Formats: sequence, structure tokens, C-alpha cells
Amino acid sequence: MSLENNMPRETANSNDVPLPSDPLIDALLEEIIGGQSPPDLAVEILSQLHDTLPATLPMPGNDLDSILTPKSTVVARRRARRRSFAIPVSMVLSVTAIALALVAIVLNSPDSSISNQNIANEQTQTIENPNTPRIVQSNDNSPDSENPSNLLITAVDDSNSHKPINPSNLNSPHTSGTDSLPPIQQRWQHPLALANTHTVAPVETDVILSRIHRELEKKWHENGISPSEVAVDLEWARRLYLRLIGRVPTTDELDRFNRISKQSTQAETRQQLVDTLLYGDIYQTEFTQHWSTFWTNTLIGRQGGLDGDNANRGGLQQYLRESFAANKPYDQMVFELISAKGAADAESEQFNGAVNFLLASLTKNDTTLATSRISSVFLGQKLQCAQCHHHPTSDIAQDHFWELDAFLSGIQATKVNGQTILTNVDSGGVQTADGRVGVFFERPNGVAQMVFPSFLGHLPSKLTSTAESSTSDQTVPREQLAQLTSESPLLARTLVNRLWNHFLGFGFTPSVDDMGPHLAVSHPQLLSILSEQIESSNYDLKSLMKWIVLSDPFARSSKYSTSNDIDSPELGDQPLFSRYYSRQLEPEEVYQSLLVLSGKKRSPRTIGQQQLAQRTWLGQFTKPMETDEGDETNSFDGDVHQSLVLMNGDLMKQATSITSTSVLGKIINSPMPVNDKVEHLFLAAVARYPSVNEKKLILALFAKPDVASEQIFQDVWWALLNSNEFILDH
Amino acid sequence: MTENEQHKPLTPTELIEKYQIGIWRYLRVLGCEASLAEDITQETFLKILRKGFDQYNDAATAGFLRKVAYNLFVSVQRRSGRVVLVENIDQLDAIWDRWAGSDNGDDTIDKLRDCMEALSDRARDALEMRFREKQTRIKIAEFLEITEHGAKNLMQRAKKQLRECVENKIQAEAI
Repeated sequence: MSLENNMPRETANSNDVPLPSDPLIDALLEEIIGGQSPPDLAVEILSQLHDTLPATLPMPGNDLDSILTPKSTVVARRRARRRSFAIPVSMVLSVTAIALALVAIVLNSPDSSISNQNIANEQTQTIENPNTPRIVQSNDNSPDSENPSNLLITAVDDSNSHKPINPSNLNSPHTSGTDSLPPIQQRWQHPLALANTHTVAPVETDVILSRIHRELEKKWHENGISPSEVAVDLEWARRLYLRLIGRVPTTDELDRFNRISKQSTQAETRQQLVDTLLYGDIYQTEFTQHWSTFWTNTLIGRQGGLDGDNANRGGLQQYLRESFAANKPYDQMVFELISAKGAADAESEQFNGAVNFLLASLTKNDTTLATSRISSVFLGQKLQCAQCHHHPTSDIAQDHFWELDAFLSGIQATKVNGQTILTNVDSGGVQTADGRVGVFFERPNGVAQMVFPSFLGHLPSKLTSTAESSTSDQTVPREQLAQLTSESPLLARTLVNRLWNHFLGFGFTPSVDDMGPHLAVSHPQLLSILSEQIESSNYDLKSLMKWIVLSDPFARSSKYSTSNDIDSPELGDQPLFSRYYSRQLEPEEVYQSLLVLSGKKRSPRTIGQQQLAQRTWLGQFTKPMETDEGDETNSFDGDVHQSLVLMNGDLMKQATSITSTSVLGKIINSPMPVNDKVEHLFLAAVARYPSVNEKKLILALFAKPDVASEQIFQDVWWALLNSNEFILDH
Repeated sequence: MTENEQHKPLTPTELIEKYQIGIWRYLRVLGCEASLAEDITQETFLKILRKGFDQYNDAATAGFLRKVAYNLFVSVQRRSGRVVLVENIDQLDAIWDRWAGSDNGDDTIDKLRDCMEALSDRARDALEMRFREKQTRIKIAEFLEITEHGAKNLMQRAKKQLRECVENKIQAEAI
């Protein structure tokens, strides 16, 4: 009896002999044509095995222990460290709570009124002068409190309200009653702001990928969904090129990838392509250009540092390019960006491209935008609203913003011989008798208050030891801020969230610039794992990129089915990452893609000119909104303007021209048959083969005798480049 | 010295790397969805690695793994209330063993690719619409301007032609 006789049969029409379906052929065709390749499950299996492994395996020649021991040791060490870290903290908190309870009982007793008064007098010092603003300096020296010393200038007499505040008055305040003072409250401190000694050993990429998968799988299970199928190789390759070097792959690159994929497993082939794009010499120029553009946009927007600004956008891009070319650790870059001194322009001998980040964030030495950007871009804390009032949905107070701003009080931008120089000066801010420098801000009720540098609620006294360890110039608050920011665990969390969002379309929070305590993180454990690992990997950005692009969700298809249609972050839900989220390409990615399709050669020597040309093109779509937050409008969102520029612009004309170097020209002039040429056009534009119907329609055009074949290819190419599919990352 | 004595047992990592693709393909041949095949492949290795087994030779190991995978597949099907349509598992097993060869079926995949070149354009279009574009038979029939049954028959004949072509290539190599 043949196998076919045992297979379920399908009925045919009356004229045909019924034929059986063939499970063997069906399965293999789904692999060859449908792109359902076998996955590499070794790491996942070994990882799961490790979790439930008995002491010894009843197998001869077993090397599992040797494979897994380092991982289990790392895990054990992590757990041990967590325990050792958690116990003292919990003990300290318990003891503190008991002590506070005892103090409260004593203070509330009838005999404690004198003590209360004394404490209140010790806490505040007030300057009483009917002709000047009433300045109140709170002086909280309580060791248990983290409240920084504050100077309050209360509502003033109308006739004198415009008088400037004389800082010298602050040096000799006298003590008085405290009847008009607001009650001293427990201040909020960000629990993750300061660096701690808790470190994690780095682990292999395979282990990290396995942990990513496991964390996501938990969520899928909780929500009762199944992830989408694995994306086919071409689909995956297109998104990889777009995310890593900011353009679509060429047909030559896809052909090369296809050839390799036939000789190796899918996992090996994909890892090889990732390594080539990240570390290969031929892609270094594009890699550094793409990421310098990404970070320039992130740091100062698309309009920062252009005409009329102190900053030089090109200078910042040059600094970032050099940093990425040297694979500089991210925390080092952040330190340099915040603490930079020097000239903005490359022509100057004092040139330091990093200064352009702060220069683009200063308005006549007003540092509020710089403070906003440092807190949101590097620390994931959106504090802008606290500039004017307490945060409406969290414990972040107005003080927190201005205390962070106080670190920048000594910053100064000056013009020397036509060059903009960023320096630190001693005269910035307001100096008190004890040498501290603070800044004033106005509360919503009209009361002006003075605050001193504090890092998300943590006092400077607690910061000194951190700053001392690695900076020689401890007196410069800006360098203290740079040190604190680059050492803060928030830096790693924000970086991971930002890059995860870049590669997968959504981050772990609704906004990557706002990871405040009022917002829930979709995958807290996963965020912690990746943050700890990037910290322990010395902030190697390429490592983080590699983990994400080789992770499970990056390899999933963007198509969804009834098994995972509830995974819709586009509707405001938390993302579950059970599929790849389609989104429109960034304008820079469209530009670079069209450029490579037009056959324009790019070299490191002309990269500055290329970025200038790109900025000019992008200038059609973005305009600054002149807000405190440096917001910009972007019309590259599918509106008519975008369509017209894309369809009729010079860049599109170049990309659809038939020259010896353009992709279209090369395909037309190749000896391939028409069918293959059509397939190559589709591969070059959307990295897939044409559907049978598409091919039929296109081939029918060639049957018309009165139309030149070149014209047909050009029309097809134009239609492809103006399709939604081309400008989507999917 | 017998063959069994000469056979060196594989380590778990080697075992997984050597057989995982074959098991996954075998499950797909049984009619398993891709994601379910992935799950059962994992479960198969976890099961045998936790319990342990004797590795006599490659064929015996491959056969044993397929048997475990098949049992897990049947178990999953039963739990979900589905009927397992494959009756003659021994025969399917023997055919797949021959097709898979010693490289988990990679060579057969290449043979099948070559065989597809010999199909008519209409047959290839129909299969591409079915397997790449996941089109329904009705859509395929509309495109080819034939009846739905005609489209079905066209695909079945194409698959039969592919099957025979692959068989012939395998036999030719054996000779």
C-alpha cells in the first residue's frame, strides 16, 4: 500500500481523476516558496533544560554541564548579590521606620511644643525687610532628610516687585519666626537615579536572546496569544538594512544574502549579515552616518544647529560620526556631551563638536531647554512641565526641574572672533556665603524660590563622593551632572528603551523620553535584564543593537492573525511584541534609500556635503515650533506635501533615471529576460518577488507594440518607489 | 568491533544541532503548523535529554526522536479534540527517512527547487499563489480563469509531478 492511499483525498471535478494531496511535498513547498524555514532551537532548548536540570544527566559524553555552568554561576552570583543587597536595605528601612515612629510619638505628646518650636526655628532663616522681597532660607540639616536648602522669596510689595534680588542679602540672613512658611514635606527621590555597586556579569549573546524570548513568551502566555510566523529572509533583511544603516538593501546585497542562506542555517546566515553590517569595513561609513543622524535628531531635533543658531549642526554630527567610528562607549559620549567645552565650528583650533549639543539647547544662556533635553534624552524623565508647576500625575515637583537646572548655572556661550565658544564661568547663578551656587525660579503663586543642584531629589552631599572618584575638577557643577548622568542606572534603561523603540516600532513605555514613575513599563523584567547587560558590557552600542536585531520579535512577520490581533499598541495598548510592527520610514531613510537606488556614490570624504544636501531636502518637511521643549512640526506623515515632493521631486527623478549607475539602468541593461528584470525591480524596491497577479499585469504591458520596454520598466519602477509598501518598514 | 561500539554518543548540544531541523521538517510533514512544530521539536529534545537514552547509531537515534515527536504530536492533537489523519505512520516514517537522508532533507529541498523549474508557468503560478501568497483556491481559479476544481487539480498534478521528479533524482543517485 502506498503512502498516498493513506492520505486524505481531495475531490476533483468530474473530468479529472481524483488525486491525493501530498503532505511531504506540501511541507517542503511551504518551506521553499512560503519561506517557513526551520528555526535554530539549540539555545532555547538548552536554556529550558538548564532550568529543570537534575544534578547529572544520564547520558554518556555529556557536555551540558560545561556549557551551562558559566551561565548558572552567573545567575547564582546575580541572585546572591541581589540577596546581599536587599537584606541590608530592608534592615535599614525597618530601623528607620521604627525610629521615625518613636520621634512622632514624642513630638505629638503635650510636652513637646517647645521642641516643635525649636525644630521649626532651626529649620528656617527669614530675612524680614518691608522694602525688599522677603527671602526665606530653609536650612534643613536633619541627617534623615534629603531636602536641599531652599531660599524662598515670598510675595512682595507691589512697588518693589520689579527690584532685582541682591544675592549679598542671602549671605547674612537672620532668624525669625516661621508662621508663613509652608510645611516641610518628604521630598520625592528617584529610586534609580544614583549609581550603586550592584553589578552583573556579562553573558553570551545566545543567553540574552533566550532571556528576551522567555520574557516575551510569558506575556504571550498571559494574554493567550500566539506570535506571528517568522518573517521570510528577504523581509527580515530589508528591515535589518533599514534599521542598522538607514536604507533599503540593493539587489546585489540580497542576492549575496540568498547565496549564503543556501549554504548555512538560517540562524548562522542572519547572524553573519548582522555582523557584516555592524562590523564590516564596507558599511562603516553608512553605519556612522546613519547613527550620527539618528542621535543628532534625538539630541537637538531636525532643526537644531541650523542657520541663526549658536550651534553648528555639522560639528555635532562630526563628533558623533567619529564617536561611532571609534565605537565609543555610550556613557562616555554622554559625559562628553554634557561637560564639553570649546568651539562649535570645525575651523577653530578649539573645536569640540560635542559642545553643539548644549549650544543648540541654550537661548541666550537660558539653560531650561538644555535641562529638559538632558533629563528626557539621557534619563528618560520628562520634567518640562515641572518647569512651571508640579507634575500632575507623579511626585515630581517644580524643585526637581530647577535643581537639575542649577547644575548648568555656570555655563556660558560667548562669541570670540566670530567663533562660538562654550565655557564655564564662576559668576553664573547665585552664590551663598558657604560657596554654594543656586538658581531662582518662580512658583505658580508668585513666590520666588532658590534651589541648589540636586539630582532627581538626591542631595549634592551624597553626590560628592561619586563625582570625586573620576573628575579632577569637582567644583564645576556641570561636570558633576555629566558624571552623575553617565553613571546613573537610568541612562542604561533609557538607552535600551530608545533603541528597542527604534528597532521594533514601540518601546517599553508609551514615550521613550518619558519613563517616569507614573508610567507603567510593559516588560519591566526584560528592560532590567537588557539594562544590566549593556551596563556590564561597558555601554557597547553595537552589542545592544545585535541583541535586539537577533531577538525573536525582530524576526517575526508583521502580519497578524486572529491568534494575536489583540497585540495592537497602535491603539494605545501595551505592546506584546508578538509581531513586527509596521511603520513609515523616517524621512532620512527614504532619502538614503532613494539615493542608493539612484546609484549615487558615497565616500567618507564627501559625507559632510551629503549630510548638507540631506538637510536641505528634509527642510521641506520639518519646521521648528519655537516652544520651550524645542518641538518641531513634521509634515512627512503621508500628507499631500510629502506625496508631491516624493512623486515629482528631483530625488525621485534621479532614482528613476536610466543611467549606467542607477539600479533601474543596471537592470534594464542587463542580459536578463524580462521576467527576471521585473523580479529584480521588486526586490530592489520592496525586497520581495512580485505576486503572480502583479507579474501578469506587468508582463501584459510588454505585449503592447507601441510602448518602448524602457518606458514600461521606468513606469513600474516609479510606481514601486511611490507605493505605500516602499515607504513602510514592515 | 561492532558498529554500535564504534558509535560515539553525541553531547546534548551536538544532538540538538544535528537532528533539530530533521525533526521540525518531519513534524511539518505530519501536518503540524510551523509554530507547533517548533514547540514540539523543543519538547522532544527536552523529554529525551531529561530522561536519557542509549545512542546506538545515527539511524536509531533519528528514528527514536521521530517516534517521540510523533507521540507528542498525537497527544497535542488529542487534547485539542482533533483527529490524526495519518494512519500509516511506519510508511511515512520510511519515506521521510529516505528523503531526509543524512542531512535532514537539505539535499531534497535542493532537488525540489530544481524540479520546480520543469513545471509549466501556470502550474508554478498556482503553487506560488497558494504557498507564497496564501491565496484561496477561488482566487487562484479566478486568476487562471479556470474553475475552482480545475485549479485544485492543476496543483495536485503539479505536486505529483514534483514528487515523482524528486523520487527519480533520489533513485538515480542511489544507483
